[in-house]
Amino acid sequence: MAKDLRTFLRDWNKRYPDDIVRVKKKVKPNYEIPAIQLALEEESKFPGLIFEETENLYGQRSRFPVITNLFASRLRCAESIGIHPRRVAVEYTGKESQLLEPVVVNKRAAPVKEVVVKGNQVDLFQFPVVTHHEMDSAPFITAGVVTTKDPDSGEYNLALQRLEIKDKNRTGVWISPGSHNGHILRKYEQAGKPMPCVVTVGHHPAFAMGAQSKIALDVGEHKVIGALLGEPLELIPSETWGEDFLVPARAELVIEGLVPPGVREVEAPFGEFTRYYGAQRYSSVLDVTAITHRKDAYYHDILVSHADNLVMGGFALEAKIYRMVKEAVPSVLNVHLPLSGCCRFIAYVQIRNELVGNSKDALALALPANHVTKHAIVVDEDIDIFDDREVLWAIATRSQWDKDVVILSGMKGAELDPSIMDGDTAKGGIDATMPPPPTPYEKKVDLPAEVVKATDLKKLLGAQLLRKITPETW
Amino acid sequence: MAKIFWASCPNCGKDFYGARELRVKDLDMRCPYCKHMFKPSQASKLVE
Repeated sequence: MAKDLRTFLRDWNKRYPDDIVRVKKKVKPNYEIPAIQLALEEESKFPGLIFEETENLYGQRSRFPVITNLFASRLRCAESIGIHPRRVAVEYTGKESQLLEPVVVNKRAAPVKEVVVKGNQVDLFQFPVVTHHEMDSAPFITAGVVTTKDPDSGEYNLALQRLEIKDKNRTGVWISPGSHNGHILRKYEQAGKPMPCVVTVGHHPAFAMGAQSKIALDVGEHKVIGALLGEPLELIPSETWGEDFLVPARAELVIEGLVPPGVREVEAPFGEFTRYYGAQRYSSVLDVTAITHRKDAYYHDILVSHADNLVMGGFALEAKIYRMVKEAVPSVLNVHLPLSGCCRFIAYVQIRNELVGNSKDALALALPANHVTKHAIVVDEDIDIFDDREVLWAIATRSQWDKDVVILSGMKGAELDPSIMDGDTAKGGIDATMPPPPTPYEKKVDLPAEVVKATDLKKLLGAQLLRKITPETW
Repeated sequence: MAKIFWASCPNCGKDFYGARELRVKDLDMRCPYCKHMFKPSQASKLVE
């Protein structure tokens, strides 16, 4: 059977039986589900969550369970696409280079067509759409992969974009002007035509992760999704446009609609990936023409501004920075965008510092690799880039402000970065590497390796006493 | 210049913020708490 959310849950549950938790107690979708995620996150716990008893937007029992927190774990995100959580930059890059063309299947092989609703029967209120944060303007669909089609090349473009519920058959849709979907929307608007748009909610994790890929517009993320799945993505003609616009056959829920040209309506505030609310603004709208879904569809939600949203979004960026740096610095080893920088704003780049200039070249290439990343720190291979403390230690002991800083002014930044006041941004990086050989440098303190290996605290102090000693986290 | 401004809803009194463009063009705002529509110039309080 082709891969989808169901096959993922089945396989994952065999490998990690307690990692995706089913909640049977009734929980409301407005604030209560995010509050549970937040409470778990504060204990550094990131299970996938399935809420079986929840409410739709009429306040009635929902027919559709909510699945959320699916992307909150780096391990789960990485292993779901067959890569190692500490080797994402390298291995995601490898996967992206093995593009697979999607295939078209018939209706019998398309569970997303089990229920088809069109025209005035469309009703988004029947779904348990979550209201996430207190100042959010409405319930938002946050796991919706918005698909458009370039009218010139005919290629599809996919991106995770939020949709504000406005009515039974109407949503707001924030399409960032700087995004590929924004570029395609401008083409339709210049032609005075409505833009066909499909929103996919719920599929194998590779679907949303492939949609985040930072490939060129004319490549098409359907092929990247195939690469991450390890098999072609299955598509089927849509209800609204038939074979002219294909939709994922094995999705949980598909929303089809039109974005009318030039229409902007008030939308947001909305809690964004920055952990701030994005301001109220005027955004495009989506007039829904059809909804198709499985009879027992999972409604997938992502808690934006928390690990569920941040971790997965960083994968494609890590890969892109790695690719860019590798062009000129072949000794680059790894890249990590830590949670402390929203998995976007800060990049840790690890290199083997072989030649004078390697570390500065790495900085200069990492910073413009995407418009969101605005801080980069280059470190040596002995620094664990998955530990903020080690990176800060490298800065503390291997950098000088007058020699090791690179600043690039007047760059395009993230529209949602609250610190940008005048449109552009200044990016900066710190070279926190030791000088390359043969320049001598001090040695890190250490102990004889055999003594460290032989030290067993449980044996020495006893497990009970060891548990009683309070860990300190600062 | 700040790119946002805070507004107090004239209906429920709660505060939220909008993009600068809404203030410059005096476009309708919608209170996220009570859904009341009003123009920035009608806000009971503005911080900009």
